Amino acid sequence: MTDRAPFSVMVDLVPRTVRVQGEIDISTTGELVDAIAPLLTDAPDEPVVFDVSGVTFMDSSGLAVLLDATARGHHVVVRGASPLIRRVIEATGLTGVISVEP
Amino acid sequence: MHGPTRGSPAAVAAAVAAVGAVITIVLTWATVAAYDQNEDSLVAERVDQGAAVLMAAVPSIDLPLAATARLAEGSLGGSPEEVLQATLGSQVGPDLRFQSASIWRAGDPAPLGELGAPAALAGDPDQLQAFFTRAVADGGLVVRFETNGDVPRLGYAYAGADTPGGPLVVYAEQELPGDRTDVPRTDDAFAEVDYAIYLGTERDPDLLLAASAAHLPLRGRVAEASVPIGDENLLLVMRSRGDLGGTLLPRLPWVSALSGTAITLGAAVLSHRLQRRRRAAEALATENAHLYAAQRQASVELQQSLLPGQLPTVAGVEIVARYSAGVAGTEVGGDWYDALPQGDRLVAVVGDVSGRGLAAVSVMASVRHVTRALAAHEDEPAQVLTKVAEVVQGEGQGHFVTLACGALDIAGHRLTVAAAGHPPPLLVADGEASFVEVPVGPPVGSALAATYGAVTVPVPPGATVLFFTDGLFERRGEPIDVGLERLRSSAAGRTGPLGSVVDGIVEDLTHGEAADDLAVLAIRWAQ
Repeated sequence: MTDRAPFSVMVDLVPRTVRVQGEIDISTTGELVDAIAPLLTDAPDEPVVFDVSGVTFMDSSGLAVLLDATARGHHVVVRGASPLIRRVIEATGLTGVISVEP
Repeated sequence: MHGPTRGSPAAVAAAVAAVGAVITIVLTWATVAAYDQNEDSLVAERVDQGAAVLMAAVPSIDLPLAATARLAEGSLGGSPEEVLQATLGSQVGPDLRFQSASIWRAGDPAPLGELGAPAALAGDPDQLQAFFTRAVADGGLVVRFETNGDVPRLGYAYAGADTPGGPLVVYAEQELPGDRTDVPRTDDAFAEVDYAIYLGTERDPDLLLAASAAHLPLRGRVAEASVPIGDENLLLVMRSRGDLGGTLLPRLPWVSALSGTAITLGAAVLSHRLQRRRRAAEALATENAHLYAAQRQASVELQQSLLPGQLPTVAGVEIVARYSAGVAGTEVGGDWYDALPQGDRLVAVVGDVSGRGLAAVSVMASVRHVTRALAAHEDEPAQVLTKVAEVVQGEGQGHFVTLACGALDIAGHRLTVAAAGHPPPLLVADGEASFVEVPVGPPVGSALAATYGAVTVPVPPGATVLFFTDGLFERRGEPIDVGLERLRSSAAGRTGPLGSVVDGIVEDLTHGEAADDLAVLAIRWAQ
């Protein structure tokens, strides 16, 4: 709680990229969902890349945001995930659903 | 010295009196307004919590019917009558959820199968067919206030997809209490409010379903909320029976009026008043803490109403379950467990929904009921999860659900497990503990379609299998495997009664302060 990294999210429309910093949990996913909404509205065949190299923590509510993007037809790519986040994706059985790239 | 001049004691006294009077009036008005607003928002909050309880109960009606219709039209084997028995058999009877259930081919004059009492609506074939036509047109659950028969009932119908010969319709009836007013309360969390529930969106006395008070409509400080059920609505109206905010707030205007008067009496009284105000503020803070605790209690009761009231007794195994609400926040989480005896086997389910709050709990309730209905019909955990994923696909409203499903062959000493995004169970045998190596598929409830695999492992006599949710082992910022290893080593080598073994593990891992919700289901084979 004390050294909580500030949360920020930046969005590029071309190519569709979301750059997130800080911790993704129930208190920050609202901001994340609002920020990425413009990326998910059209052209569902385009992949969406989540650059999480600045993310120190992600819980199941963060995974729900990624899954929601796949639910709309986008191919979701997670880039720069720490071993901790990779393991969360793997343990939740999502390796076949979300692409994890270095 | 002719008359009062500037600064004279009389003028000062008059000014003090005037200012004092103004302050007194403003303070009194402000506290009355604060009291009103506080009580209004508390009633509104209570009605939202009541709506949450109702909303969480809707899937228990909707989903068994939907699952019956979908299974009966599929090629899973079994006649419609057998499917009806498998999915609804345990829920139909004089004191159970439904008093009558039947499955029909739309347009046919007689049912394909029925359970419990004959359907009262069958006494009027025209209305019955009209209701089924409504169900087919709607494609989901339809609800009807049923006055055929001796007592009023609610009738529910769910139509499956159109198949050769016409769609199948599953129909069920639920009797309403003979006297629908003064229905005794079963939930202490709502002891201080009166309520009335109507079908529809109006306070129509003919469509009253239940009420805690004899005199209707409820008058006074009331709030209402609407809960969708199929193509209909339930209207919940609540009234506070006393002061929801405790006894201090209603007295506060008097406190202000008296203390305001005190200002006008002199500076000596002012310090006294300030002291009283400070005490009042302290008392308010204490009351707020109580209110927060009461709200949290209501959330916990809602969650616990969704867990099995009693675990089944099954020969050859001992079953223990623990659920603990996390310490974080007042919003209810969505962990659950189920133990379902099925012939000579036991089906164990533990699950968790992402996120918290009302929507999360209603998603959890859906998945839990679908899993129960399907587990009664399917033998293999992998098949159960594949079917659950299919039925709840896209129903998650932004949440997803992880669950592990185990089938325990008690006499055969074998355990088969499948998992959807959920940690595998821990098997503790002969002092050693190891996780069952389950192929984990994706969670259910999102738009993903998925098929699941399973693994079967032998279980020696006296061994314990431990299903759990991540609240048991996860710590923020720590790799999952570190938490899992802590759980494994804590469980290894423990002996004694199963209840104290489970309590020991929970205490060891959380130190009584679990941040997140946690559920544990432990099953031990006899020696």
